[in-house]
Amino acid sequence: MTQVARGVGPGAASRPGMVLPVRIHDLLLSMAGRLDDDALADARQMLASAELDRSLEFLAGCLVAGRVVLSHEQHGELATLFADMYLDQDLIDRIMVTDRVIAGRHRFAFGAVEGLDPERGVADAVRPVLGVLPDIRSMWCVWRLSPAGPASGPVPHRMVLVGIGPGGFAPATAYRVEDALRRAGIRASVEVLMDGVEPGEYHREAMRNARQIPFDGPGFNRPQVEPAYVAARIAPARPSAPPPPAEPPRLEPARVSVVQPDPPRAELPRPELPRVELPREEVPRAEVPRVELPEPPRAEPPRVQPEPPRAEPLRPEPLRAEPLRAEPLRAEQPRMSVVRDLPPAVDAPRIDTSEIPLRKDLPFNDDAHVEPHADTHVDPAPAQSRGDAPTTLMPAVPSAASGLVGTGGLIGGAEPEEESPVESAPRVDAVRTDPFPAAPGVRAVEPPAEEPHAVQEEPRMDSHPSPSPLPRRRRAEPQDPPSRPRLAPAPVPESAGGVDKHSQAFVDDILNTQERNLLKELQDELARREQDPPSAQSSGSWQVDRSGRHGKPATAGPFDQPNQTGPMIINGVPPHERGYPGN
Amino acid sequence: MDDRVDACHELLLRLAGRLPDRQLWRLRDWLAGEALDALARALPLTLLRERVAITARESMLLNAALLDAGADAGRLHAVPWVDQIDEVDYTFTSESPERVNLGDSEAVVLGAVLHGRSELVDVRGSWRRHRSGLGPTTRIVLVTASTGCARLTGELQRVLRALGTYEPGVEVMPEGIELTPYHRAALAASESLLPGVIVHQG
Repeated sequence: MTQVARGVGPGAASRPGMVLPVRIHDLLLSMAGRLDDDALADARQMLASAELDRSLEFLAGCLVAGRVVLSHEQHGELATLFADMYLDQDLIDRIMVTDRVIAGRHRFAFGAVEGLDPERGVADAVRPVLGVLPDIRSMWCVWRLSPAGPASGPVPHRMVLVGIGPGGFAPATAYRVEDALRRAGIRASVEVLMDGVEPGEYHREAMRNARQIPFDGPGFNRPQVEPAYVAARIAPARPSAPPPPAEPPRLEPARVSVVQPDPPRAELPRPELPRVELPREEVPRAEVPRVELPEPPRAEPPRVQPEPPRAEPLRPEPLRAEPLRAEPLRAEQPRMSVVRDLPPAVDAPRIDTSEIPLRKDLPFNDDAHVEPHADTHVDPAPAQSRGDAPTTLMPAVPSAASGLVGTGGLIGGAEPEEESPVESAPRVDAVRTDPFPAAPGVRAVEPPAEEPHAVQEEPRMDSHPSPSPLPRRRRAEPQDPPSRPRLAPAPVPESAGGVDKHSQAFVDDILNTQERNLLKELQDELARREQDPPSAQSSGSWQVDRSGRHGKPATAGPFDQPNQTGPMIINGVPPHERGYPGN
Repeated sequence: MDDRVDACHELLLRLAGRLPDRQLWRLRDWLAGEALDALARALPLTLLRERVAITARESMLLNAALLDAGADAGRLHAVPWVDQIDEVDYTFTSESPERVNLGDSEAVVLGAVLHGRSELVDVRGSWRRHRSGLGPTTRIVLVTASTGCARLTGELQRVLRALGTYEPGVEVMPEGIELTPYHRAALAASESLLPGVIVHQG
């Protein structure tokens, strides 16, 4: 449903342009204490799930069944929302309306009830959610002692009041926090209040007695929330990390090769470690030189420490995925140069830049990567490439190749590096292969770029896969359309054997292994049918269709005829039955 | 109106164990609150969303109860049919392993609420657990009544909710109704909820 902005409803006058979900959320807020908490939770869940109409009808059903009396303002807003959602107004006509709603005053406990603090367990339960939801500014807990609604649940009932800023999403916050609590075995109603919007009496009274959950604790502060968020993602990443654990050793050998020229390389292992556990270690690197020098000796311990730093966690995430892909080539070189030439303070920036380019290599953000590389590594790169280049480059290249094989450069971050030490020649291959496995022309272009780091990266991105595949596809497309008009147009272009081969070659470059296999199978089938012309005619409809799709040329000779004869094929009707013989 | 309410109650009774408790108790609460028009809009959509197939008998009840109450005919016709419902996803026991040595305050309150009601035929209790072994053990209150089943259901549900059962399982069966496999299994493993109290009005 589109969310139409309007300025109707309680509290909406001050917020023109409010979207429908927020209006419904505000309406639900005004119902708090007068409907049972489960009804509000269900309605908010529907609201957060973009089921606005269902949420409104559910709310109306609860109001009708519970004989809840609304104020004219509330009913008017509900009617407006029903109209906006094209819902049947008959349902809300039965809701009782009064000029002034006299709702009893709810009682809230100040502090613990029966020895149980309202905030107990809440912090731990919502920690992972707080890291995801934006602009949460405060959280309060309180026990409500009085029942709410005609079908109230048991009391005391826990309430969680969440304050959000303008960047927050009230419906989503209410649902996610409530769901997180429920999963943790905590039944509570979550009331999300927008900063700057005057709460109703119910919420004001609750706030008077509520206890605030300290956001300063670990995992709650904003900066901390982000780390918590990072940690959550790290966890999934770690499962994938199992391969990385093996990688660190791999990386080390690469370092060793590099280190051999350079005696002091306690620092080198760090840069590599980040690949396995990128966020943590890399972050410390950048900071280590700045804040604490002693960390360098602790290549591994920093892992524990890095988490505490909160502002940085943002960096680690990007690093993870990126380093796996591109690191092999560039990370090592920058390391070499950086470690040798520059002091620790300088090292930090270098590390950052090196990491960045790594990321860029795999994706398609070459431009940004190249620049940082050039800046930081310009000097070291040439020197390294000359002396150490063989060792470093070799691992890098093989690593890339391995990544290619896996088609999952993602996973193969560690593997490529290991292999790379064995093979020396083609970094370029690896790089090229990553984006697009088969791109011979690209490779030729890249080799020159290899010598200077910055230059290398640029040529890759520019000349590589992105440009090449596009033109190829374009070429293939024009051919396809004719082939689709099944018989007549398709066969003609296909007749040209050279065209077919070329197109197939292009297709091979573009398609992945699975698609290639499919093409091979198709070609095999075509060859069989070519050998057996009569049989092919009998089942011509199938073949004709395929040729029209994938490669006209390949199927040109034998299949064209069935296609041409097979206008019957169009609707999938069995053409082979008698149409061919008859024809 | 009464006919439609009775038909809808029978339909909701038959959906026990097939619709999530969280939704089923709410729909029954609406029926007890005479919000048949709200049910007419919500129930077909719920059946469709939960992908619950209904039998021919249930389809007849659905149409009889909700079509005139404002239900979308398109949604009603979209609910898939099934020949019969044989599978029960739950097992029932007469005692809860979790409450062996605890006082049954729910039974006390239910006994107080139901005392002296002429429409009651029998009040029994059973404990339900999912066949997978997952999830909590849920008390199922099995009441047989002669009239006012929908209203009694809502009343008992609210009592149980106030006592801490957020999604109460209250099955008020009209006397003489053909029971579903779910209810037969529950009754087979049930015990009197109010021992010592003669409910049957004979």
